[in-house]
Amino acid sequence: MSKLRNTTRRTFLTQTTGALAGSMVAFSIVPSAVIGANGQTAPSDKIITGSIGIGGRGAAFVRPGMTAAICDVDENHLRAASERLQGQADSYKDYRELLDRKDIDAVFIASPDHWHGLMTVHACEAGKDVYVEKPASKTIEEGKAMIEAARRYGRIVQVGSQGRSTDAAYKACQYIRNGNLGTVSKVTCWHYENPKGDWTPDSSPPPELDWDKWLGPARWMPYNPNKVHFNFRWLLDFGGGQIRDRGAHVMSVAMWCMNADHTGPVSVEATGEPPHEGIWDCPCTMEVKYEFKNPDWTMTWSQPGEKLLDAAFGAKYWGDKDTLIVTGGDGGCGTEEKAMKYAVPAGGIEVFKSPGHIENWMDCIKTREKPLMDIEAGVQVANLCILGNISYRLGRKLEWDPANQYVKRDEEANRWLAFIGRGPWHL
Amino acid sequence: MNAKTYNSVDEFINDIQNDNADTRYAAWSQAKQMNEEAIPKLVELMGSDHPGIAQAATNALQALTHSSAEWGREELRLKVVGEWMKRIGESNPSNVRVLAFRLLAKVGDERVVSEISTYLYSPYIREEALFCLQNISISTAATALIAALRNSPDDFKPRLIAALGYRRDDEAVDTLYDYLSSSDTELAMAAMHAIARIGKLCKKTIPWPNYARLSSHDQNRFLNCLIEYAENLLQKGHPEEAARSYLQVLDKTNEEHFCCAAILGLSKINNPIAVQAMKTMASHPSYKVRDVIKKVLNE
Repeated sequence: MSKLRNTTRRTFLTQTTGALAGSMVAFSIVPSAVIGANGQTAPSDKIITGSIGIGGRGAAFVRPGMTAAICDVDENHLRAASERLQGQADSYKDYRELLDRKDIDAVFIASPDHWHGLMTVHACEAGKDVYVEKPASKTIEEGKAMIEAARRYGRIVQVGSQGRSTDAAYKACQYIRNGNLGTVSKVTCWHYENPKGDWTPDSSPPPELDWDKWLGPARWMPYNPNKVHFNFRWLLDFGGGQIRDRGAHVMSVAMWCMNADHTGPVSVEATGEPPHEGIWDCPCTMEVKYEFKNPDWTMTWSQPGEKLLDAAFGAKYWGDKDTLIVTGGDGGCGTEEKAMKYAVPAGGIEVFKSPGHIENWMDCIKTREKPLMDIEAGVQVANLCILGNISYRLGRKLEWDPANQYVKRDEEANRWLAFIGRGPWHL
Repeated sequence: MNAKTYNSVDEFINDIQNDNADTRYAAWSQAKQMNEEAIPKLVELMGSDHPGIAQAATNALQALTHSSAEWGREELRLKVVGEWMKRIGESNPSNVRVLAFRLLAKVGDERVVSEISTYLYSPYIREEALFCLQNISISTAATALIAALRNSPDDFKPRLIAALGYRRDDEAVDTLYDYLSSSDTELAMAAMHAIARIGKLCKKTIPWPNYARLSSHDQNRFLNCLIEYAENLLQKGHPEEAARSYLQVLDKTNEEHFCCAAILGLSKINNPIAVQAMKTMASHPSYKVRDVIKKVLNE
């Protein structure tokens, strides 16, 4: 494993621009801006990133000329990313060593969900700005710690619910916030079911994977290919099913359109049916109802729900004058023509238009303004997913105090709001 | 699927051990209809060779236990807790013991603390006992954890310290303070982390660990702990001591994010020592630090 601990910004930029100069890809991705030619971005303004968790979604954040270091507990992921970067990034298996690098300004965190909180807090403590994949947090307490760390050190933390940066979500948000639906009293989200697993037996982890580090803060359990990498989503210990994986997209757009980033529900009631066999325990079907107050409205998560506009997932907004459908919620949002064609009248509400989710984060790193999906908004959305899963597990309605963040009259539910990680992996 | 009504434990158990996965699900999803009498038979089925039956039994036990913790079902909860307490001992299969500890962590109360504390000394199951006690927010649990801290092997001490920090036990602070000077870096760091989180004023100034020997990551963690500790002290009405903690940070690092956090903290105190400290930082090499100082002094 290579560990170039003393790499400086200048060394990295010189190495990458030099080594990539002969390739077409390099010219398209690392233009002369990197070396400050023609009045473009000077090296001192270039944001050098590290990527933690580079399999699956994380691979998208590994970019020549921008990525100085990569980290993963799976050597296959490191090898693939290193090849893409033509060897121009240092590889680490321990994210703490990547965070020690003074030449790195900011990090992408695309590890499994159960690592998001700890890695984000540690990155803020190391003075890095952070782009963390959605859903932001795994417990209510973890979300609070992430916000606290970001604020304490003035870090720019963007959560990867990139739907807010799409044109359709922007148009829909503007359309709704300007009162075109009248008073919205209901948002109904739909999504297809969770997959069903099987009884693939536990086994020894493959040699390329450090299973203990992959587990990290989670309780120890034997390796199983159906627990790891993409499949973590279908286990409550690591992920939490579609309501986390896609709910963090769809409900992010909903909270934005409803201008509700600053608050949370007053009650949450979930029901669901898990697979009848196999090791995955997230509910295949699920129905969650969230009740908000001041203003009063409800949001439902239906898995599956009524599929609209032939989209696999999305949300419908129900006002007293009209309705609006927003399909998707991740990078592929869509909405109805009336919203797409809408122009805000003079004196109307103008919503921030993102240049792209990563671009918005990069801009904010330079301006030090809050990004569109700031950690506080990201945590509010993650809290919806977390509370939905707690209500499902316990089989009862939760009465939530959004200001003080506890469940009323339910000692057991409150014990699910925090989790101390295994070994040294705790906040 | 319409919910089936079960008239007896036997009828319920028959469905739990049915070969058909849908029948098993239909049963365990109705475990709320059962009471503590179903627990012994379900526990037996956890040992089934059939993974679907073992899983259905485990799911039924979880659902039954969760339902017992609902508001207004106190009598049932106490009986369920009693059943689980019979299953934490060594004579039980390990998967049953682990489940018992994990469910007691959610529904147990002060009555379980004394017995569970004895398992903090059992190498095989101590971690589960710890997870359980850290959730039960009464002082006898803190007392048990502090006693275990004095009497446990060194490799388990960081876990015990973390549990006390997680619980934010005020009464643990004096004991934790003694570990700050430990030559074992892991112990000293764990103690600092817990003290910062608890946020109760220590009897003396926080001593530095062997700072130069810490990894960069641990140095960051230590500085963060000092700032978190100061924030908590400030909130609890100890501005002088909070200022001392912020000054420790400024004394040790030039990193701008730490300096800015410490300066912003000092600005809330605004006593002569804090103002003087900020003024002496006015020539700091970082523009951002100088800018923050300028802004807070102007305010």
